[in-house]
Amino acid sequence: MALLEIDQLNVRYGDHVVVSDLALQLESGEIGCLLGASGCGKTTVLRAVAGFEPAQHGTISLAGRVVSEAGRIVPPEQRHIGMVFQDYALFPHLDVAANVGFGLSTMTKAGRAARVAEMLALVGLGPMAQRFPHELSGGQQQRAALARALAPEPKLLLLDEPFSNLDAELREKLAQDVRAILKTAGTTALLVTHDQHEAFAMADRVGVMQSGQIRQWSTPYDLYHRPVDRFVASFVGEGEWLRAEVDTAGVVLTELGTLSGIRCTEDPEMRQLDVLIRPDDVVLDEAGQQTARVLAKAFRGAEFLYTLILPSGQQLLSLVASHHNHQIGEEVGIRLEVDHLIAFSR
Amino acid sequence: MTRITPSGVMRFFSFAGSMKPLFSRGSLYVLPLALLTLIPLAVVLSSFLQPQPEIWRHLAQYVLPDVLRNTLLLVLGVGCGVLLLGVPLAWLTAVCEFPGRRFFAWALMLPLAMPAYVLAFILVGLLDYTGPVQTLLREQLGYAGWFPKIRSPGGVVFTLVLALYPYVYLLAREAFRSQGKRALEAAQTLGLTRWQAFWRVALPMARPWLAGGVMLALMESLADFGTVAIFNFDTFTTAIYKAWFALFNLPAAAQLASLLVLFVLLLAWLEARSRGARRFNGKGGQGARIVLQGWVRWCALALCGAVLLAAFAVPVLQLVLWCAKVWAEDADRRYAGFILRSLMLAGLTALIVAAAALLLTHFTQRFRDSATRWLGRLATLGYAVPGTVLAVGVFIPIAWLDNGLVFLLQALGGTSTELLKGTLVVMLLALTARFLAVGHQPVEAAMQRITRNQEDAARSLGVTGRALLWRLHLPMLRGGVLSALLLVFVETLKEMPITLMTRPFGWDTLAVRVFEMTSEGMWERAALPSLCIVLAGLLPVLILVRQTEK
Repeated sequence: MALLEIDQLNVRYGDHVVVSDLALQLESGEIGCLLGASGCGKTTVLRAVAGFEPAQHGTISLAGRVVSEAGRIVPPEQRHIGMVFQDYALFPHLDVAANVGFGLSTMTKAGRAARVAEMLALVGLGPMAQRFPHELSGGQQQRAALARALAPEPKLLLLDEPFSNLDAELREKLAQDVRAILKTAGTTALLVTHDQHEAFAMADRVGVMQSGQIRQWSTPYDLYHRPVDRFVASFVGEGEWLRAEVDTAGVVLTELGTLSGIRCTEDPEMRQLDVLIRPDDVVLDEAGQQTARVLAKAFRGAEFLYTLILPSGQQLLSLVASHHNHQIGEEVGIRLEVDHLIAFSR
Repeated sequence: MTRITPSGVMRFFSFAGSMKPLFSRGSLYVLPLALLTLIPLAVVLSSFLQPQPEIWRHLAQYVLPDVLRNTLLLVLGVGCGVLLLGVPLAWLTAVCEFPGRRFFAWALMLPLAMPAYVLAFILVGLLDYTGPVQTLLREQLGYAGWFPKIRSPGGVVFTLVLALYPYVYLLAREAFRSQGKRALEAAQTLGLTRWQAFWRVALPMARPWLAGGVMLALMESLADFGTVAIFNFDTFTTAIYKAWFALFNLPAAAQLASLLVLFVLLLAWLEARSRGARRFNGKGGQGARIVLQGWVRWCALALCGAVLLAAFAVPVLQLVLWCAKVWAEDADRRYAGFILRSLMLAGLTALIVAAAALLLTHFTQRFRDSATRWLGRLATLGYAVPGTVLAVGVFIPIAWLDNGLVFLLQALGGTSTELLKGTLVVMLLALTARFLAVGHQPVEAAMQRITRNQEDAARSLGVTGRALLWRLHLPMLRGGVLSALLLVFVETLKEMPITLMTRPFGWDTLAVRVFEMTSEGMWERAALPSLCIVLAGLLPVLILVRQTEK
């Protein structure tokens, strides 16, 4: 049975529909993620799960018990849910240990101290127990907030853009650390972010959201390689759409020749296609039969991202190791290496 | 375990439709606090609804012409005066550089500690015909008939301007400092001289702040009782006092109070509007100051010095001299009583107001519906209502309640003739209504620093309701509550009309002593209680100085 089950959830502010008919399931021990641009309603879903926003329609169930439905809402304090906020929301008048122990008022003093010490050790803040929040770095504050949320052993942990206030280098490292901590603690978690690298680094399952709905709820790998629609395909990763036709034998023909690979989308009967060509599908090849002109290039350290233009005017992106240094305007030979064919009818 | 929370349902309903609930749980909690101000206001204003022709005829014939003329004069004179004094001082200390600027920047706030009525009797004592200044002039020059009369409308305005200019000074300074230099520099790159830039950019940008400062000064002038009493300059406040205590005509007092309330509510509305227009723009503008050169900088120094001398230094010196003179005979055992009663009254009021402010802030934060918010605003309207009006507005319903209770008691065999009337209760109710806003402001400001997320974090950790108040709100509001206690304490110490009009018989405080001595023209004997009040008043001003001059 799923630990968290959301079914046909609708949340409105006045007449403004923020979340409509949203559904997802999160198994116990899994880390889920809602990924979307700002304003897509992902934070509202999180606040509805926490019990801060009411559901106008649909249900939210925790461990089989309905906690939100139209006109009825179990208050947050009775849900056994932990939450890590974007700004951490640490209590400035309490030191780290007291912050972590804030939600443990039902425990004995000794039990509380032991639990706080255990949590601080888990997040690696043991020596910081007596510090106050303003004496901590951003990353340390983040860990303190995580420890505070985990201390009462919540059934579910919610994280609202947990890394957005941190430096870019710190972000990825901390995302992996937090994932390790959650997996050690065996906590089920739901995360919200606009950054797909964060989503992919943290989550077992990711839902891409658009205007209050989840377009696809699956593993990061499937999101990238088997997107269910054009929106998800464009939103996750980069790429350019290439026109293609399918002949009667089922061979996919493009201006760059025939394509093979695992067809992952829509019905096999369609004849007119748009195929998504990812930057890693386009290989620079001196001996390649096709040529393209370099339109722009972006240096990314280990790699270059080239924007190429074909004689027909069609553009392509190509990600290649940075020792392939070409000038803008230069003609280069290219070849397609497509493993997963992402195609939708035109 | 599952239950439906009222707030959840309420929020659901208010989100479900565009319908806004008129009443909510939050507004029910806030209502008693709001009634503290609303009942006196309603009582006073309702005297409009029961017009008594003979009273009106009397007022219109003998009272209103003078009172209206004087009030208008006061409003115009003080309004122009505080602008003319406050704005240049603020500009000089906020934007320019001249010898002594750093000192004057904070020292010019010191007059805030000096109640206008104290300044008033010192100026009268100093500048009157028999005072030391005119006497000296006569001795040296033989004749001083050209010397302006201090006991005149001009004298009242002069005194109030010296006492109230800090409101404009403070807000104008904040405006000039927050504007930053960018706007001025932009104007100068567009070809304006500094002088033109001041008139065409800095001043117009500061307009909402200036308006706010002037409104505050005007509200203080309209509420002022002690100053105009010393000058024998009849305004609404003194007319209300006389109607009650000289003519024993409470209805006439209420009629006059209702007129004054209309004036004041208009000002309060204008002030609230100007506050809405204040937006900080222009960041990082603390660039180079305009360095004044040549004789201009000495003029700046002279202006700041003259204002500080006239509004603070000389008056304090005079107070000390008078105290030294009458110390031996005046400082007798009664003073222990004055001081003790003042401290007790101020302390009680501060505690009550701080508790009320805390509850008000807590409830408006916990219940965020519009009904609660509106009642919260009404509850803090008392700051705009003059003390004389509140005294009348609280006394009338209490007297009515008292009559009912006494009747009930006598029916049960009791013998008392007064229960609430003439006790501390009336005074404390009126003072709480008057100063709730003063205490609410710092507590509310502290509450603004508690984020929604911190509250939600506490809730998700199982801490709600009263526990939230004890474990999150109270500890984080400690600083704000302390400022509220201090501010209300000092305001109550200075307060004159409410204490005077509603005190139990024989319950004299320092401010009452000042009134009694000054009303008999005994300036020297009013000096000792005044000095106590001024010294206490310096405390919050010094804290304000520390906050603004970081």
